[in-house]
Amino acid sequence: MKDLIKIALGIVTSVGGFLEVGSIGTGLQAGASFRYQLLWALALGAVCVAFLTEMTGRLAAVSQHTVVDAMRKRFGVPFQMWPLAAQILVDLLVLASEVGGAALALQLATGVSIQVWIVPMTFGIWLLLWFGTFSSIEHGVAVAGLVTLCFVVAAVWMRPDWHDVARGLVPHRPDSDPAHYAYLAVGIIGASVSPYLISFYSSGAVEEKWRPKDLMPNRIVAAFGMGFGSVVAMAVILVAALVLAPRGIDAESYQEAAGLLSVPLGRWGFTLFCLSLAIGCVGAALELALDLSYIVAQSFGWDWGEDKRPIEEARFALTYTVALTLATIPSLIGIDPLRLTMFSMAVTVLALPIIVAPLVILMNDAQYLKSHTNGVVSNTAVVLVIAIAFVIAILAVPVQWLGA
Amino acid sequence: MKSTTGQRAHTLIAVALTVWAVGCRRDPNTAYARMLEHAASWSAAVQFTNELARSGHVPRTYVHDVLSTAAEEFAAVRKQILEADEIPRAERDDAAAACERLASLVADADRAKTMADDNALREVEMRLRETAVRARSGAVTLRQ
Repeated sequence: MKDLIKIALGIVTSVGGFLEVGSIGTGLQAGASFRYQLLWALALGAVCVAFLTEMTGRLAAVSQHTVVDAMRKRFGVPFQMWPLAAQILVDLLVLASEVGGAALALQLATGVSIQVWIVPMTFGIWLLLWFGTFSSIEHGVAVAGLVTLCFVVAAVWMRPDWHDVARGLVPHRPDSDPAHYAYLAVGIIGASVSPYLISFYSSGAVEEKWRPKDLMPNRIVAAFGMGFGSVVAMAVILVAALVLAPRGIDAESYQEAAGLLSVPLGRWGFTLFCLSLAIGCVGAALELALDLSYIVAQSFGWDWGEDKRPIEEARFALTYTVALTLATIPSLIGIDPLRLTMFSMAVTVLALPIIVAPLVILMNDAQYLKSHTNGVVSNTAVVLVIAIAFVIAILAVPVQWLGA
Repeated sequence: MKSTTGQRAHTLIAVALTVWAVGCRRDPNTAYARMLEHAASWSAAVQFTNELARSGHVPRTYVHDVLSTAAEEFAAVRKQILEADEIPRAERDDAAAACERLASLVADADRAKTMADDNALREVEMRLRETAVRARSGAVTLRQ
């Protein structure tokens, strides 16, 4: 029974937390410009992230080490500085996009400028981190994040052609503008396989004191949580394809797209869009700020844990405080959150190989994983994920230049 | 022996970077078409917002947000078009005038707290989309 509750809570957490600024932004643009043709990129990203989270959860449950902690111990501090630097850059950029997205949701709802909202919004996030515990943050945000299911309701309500949807799950040559298509595919994969999800998941597993008996719930949560989560992100693509594409709206800013849920859901649509954007972004911002503290603390061997009081771990609390302060800058100087998001996704895929590649060695190290090292399937998956990460990293700069 | 291998590696990297850089060269026709499509998309977004506002599905503050952002975007695209030397002068003036017309339509509506004229927006939007199609097909001769 306890396991069932754990699994259900884990799946709800994954579903409620899946949609954030990156998946909403890339999904809107993909659906608006290419209808269902980019669904495959989301499916591919979901499979990759499911394998990666299962592995890092397994590592945490068996060894009580997070992935960053294990990498520092296995490869040494000098080596760890490379993935750390890459991940700090990515996390900061995505964090800035998330707080910008949340403030923009308030601008859409109230008409008061994003620059006015950004500081109080970030301060609110900081207060939640300062006074909250890991479980209250993770589960609270996930339950609130279930509002994003409105995209699924809207997509089903609008009755898409399911044959076309199924065709979108297989990569095809685009009907037009291949550079823009590749740019969005890279963005979608970047939004799905966010490095912070991997390190945050393993830190969460250690915070929640997972043990080897939790391996099966971990496997189920990784597969079904990410699977159902990606269904919500796919629904964003479907609604954009059904509402924005026929009208010729390319959704390069949230203002253009904010009305899309009003077509299937009437006067609730606009409110639900703003709520989904705000809650999705606040949830992801909380996770990203915490993740920055986790990776810095674990890389330098500091004490860490969201459940401890800030006075007991001043450096941990200081890290998320500094990160949140820096994250307000792009929105304060007027950078559009959606454009920053799309840029962040390109930087994410550039950094991905540096962060993911060491996993293949770590996950085969019996010193950490004892009898639970990777089998043939997991090793094939991780090698494929690394190969995909390298390919999209090479493509990231040209497609950003040509397709943006 | 070592230096020969090193030289080969350097040559290989240089060739790869050159191929990569050449691959990164932006096609001016596509870039021009994208500018036009961006303005057309904003015009469509304003019409969509009008449609939602008429049925009372979005608040007035949102309509104002869309109109003011659209006016800024039209002005930005107009500036980009005017600065794009590769576009023939007549073509450039025509496209810039279309963007200016869109900007003035939405700015006037925003100031008067009314809705922008859908028919006028649609007409300019169609013109921009037609030009974008011509640009993509290479029918507009741009300086490379």
